[in-house]
Amino acid sequence: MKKNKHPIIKDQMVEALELPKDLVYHAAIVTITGKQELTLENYKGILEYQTDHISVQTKNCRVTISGKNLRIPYYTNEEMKITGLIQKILYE
Amino acid sequence: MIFSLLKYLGGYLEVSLKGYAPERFLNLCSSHNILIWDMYKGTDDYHFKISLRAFWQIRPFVRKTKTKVRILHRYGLPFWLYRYRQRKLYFAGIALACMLLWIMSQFIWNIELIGNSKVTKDTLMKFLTESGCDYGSAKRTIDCEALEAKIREHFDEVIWTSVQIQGTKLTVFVKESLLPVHAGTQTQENYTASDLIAPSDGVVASIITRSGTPCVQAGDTVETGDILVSGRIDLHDDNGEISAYHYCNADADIYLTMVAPYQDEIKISYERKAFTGTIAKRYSLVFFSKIVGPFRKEPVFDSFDFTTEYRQWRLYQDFFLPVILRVDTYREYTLVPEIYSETELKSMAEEHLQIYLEQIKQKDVQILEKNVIMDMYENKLVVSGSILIQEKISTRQQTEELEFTQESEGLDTDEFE
Repeated sequence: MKKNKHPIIKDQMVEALELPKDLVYHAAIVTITGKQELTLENYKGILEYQTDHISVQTKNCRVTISGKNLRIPYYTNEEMKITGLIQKILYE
Repeated sequence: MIFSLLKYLGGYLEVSLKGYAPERFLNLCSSHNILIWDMYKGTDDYHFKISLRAFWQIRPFVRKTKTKVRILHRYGLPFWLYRYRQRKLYFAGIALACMLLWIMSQFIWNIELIGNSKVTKDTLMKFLTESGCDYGSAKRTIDCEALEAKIREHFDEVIWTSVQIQGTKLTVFVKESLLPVHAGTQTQENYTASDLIAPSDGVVASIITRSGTPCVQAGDTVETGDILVSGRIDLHDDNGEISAYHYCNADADIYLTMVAPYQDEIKISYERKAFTGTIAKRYSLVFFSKIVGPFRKEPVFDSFDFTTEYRQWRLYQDFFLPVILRVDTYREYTLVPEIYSETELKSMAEEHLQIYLEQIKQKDVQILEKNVIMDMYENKLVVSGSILIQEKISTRQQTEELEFTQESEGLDTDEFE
């Protein structure tokens, strides 16, 4: 509860101390290279995997990647890679 | 690259996953640090690759998520070994090859010399051979530091050296002294007393004596064999008469101005090699200085240029093998008579002269004046003249030891009594 009460103070602290935002906000890092490649970090797990969409649960939202022919070249605890034709990325 | 090698060594499987909650199965795998790769969705199943070791750990997840796992393909060394377990000789061959490779890596198969110019490659190689360090010497018998010390001791020109063994290659780095080693000072130890004499006719340009009696001074004309600095020092008594002789090795810096004759002749006609473009190559192999081949007959050419190239085989960078491929190349040519033009001749003569001057300059000789005339004859160009040079030069010879005369000996004894 305390966290939500003073979001501005937290933001200022993060800015002032130059803390890594992905650690503080538990934010997912999505790195997209062109249309073909995407790496995802800081997630909890896969919710759904189909050839045309992949849903991933991150710490505070759900990310859905839509496209065609989606494959997962590797999938570990920290990082996953998705290849194929990426068309849409949706944060829910 | 390294990951695919590790995967191959450990063995991995391509499996198909079907069932109630495949996503949950994947999440369980990732939370237990089980790597899954190359995953894609089939029509009604999921395909992915998993390491052999991890495959044994996923049994409980399969039960928990009510899925079914089916092995589609097996990859890697464990399966390969299992498939060929009957072929004992095959494995023996691999073991033998590895052993041979290891044995081969225990010897020197290549020697490289870096930095030598005054000490020729042949001299240094001969010395290395005599020191028990040759092609095919066992690496453990070579003591690099001892060899370094030996090289420094044996060659006066070498001021620094480093011997390295990398793989099957021995590298000898050499640094040579820039100061010329003079013959006169070098052989001083061989004499009890010695003079410095003129090795050729000339004029003394300068003389600085360190020990001995100078017999000439700057500006004097000397002939071959004249004593420049004598090793005998006369000791005078109070009357100004010679009382004794002291002998020593004469030591001095003597610069002589000399005339060096120069003669060159270039014929106007010459035969030019016109290569026909026909090239024949013969290959042969050299093992331990034994030649196998060549496997083809020598080509029939009237006149040809012949070159031999040795290419040593190596496995990787410095891992040389004792097998050398010898390539003999024959290039056929015909001789075409040609004539030089006058300008060509003159530029060639000029070039020859420059080379000659460079050569004498390298011997620490100063060129004062050059007086060269070119004469064009009917069929040749004759270059003649003389070059005035100044060189630090002298030769050493044994000092003639004089006996005392009766009179002087008598005086000496009187004084002592």
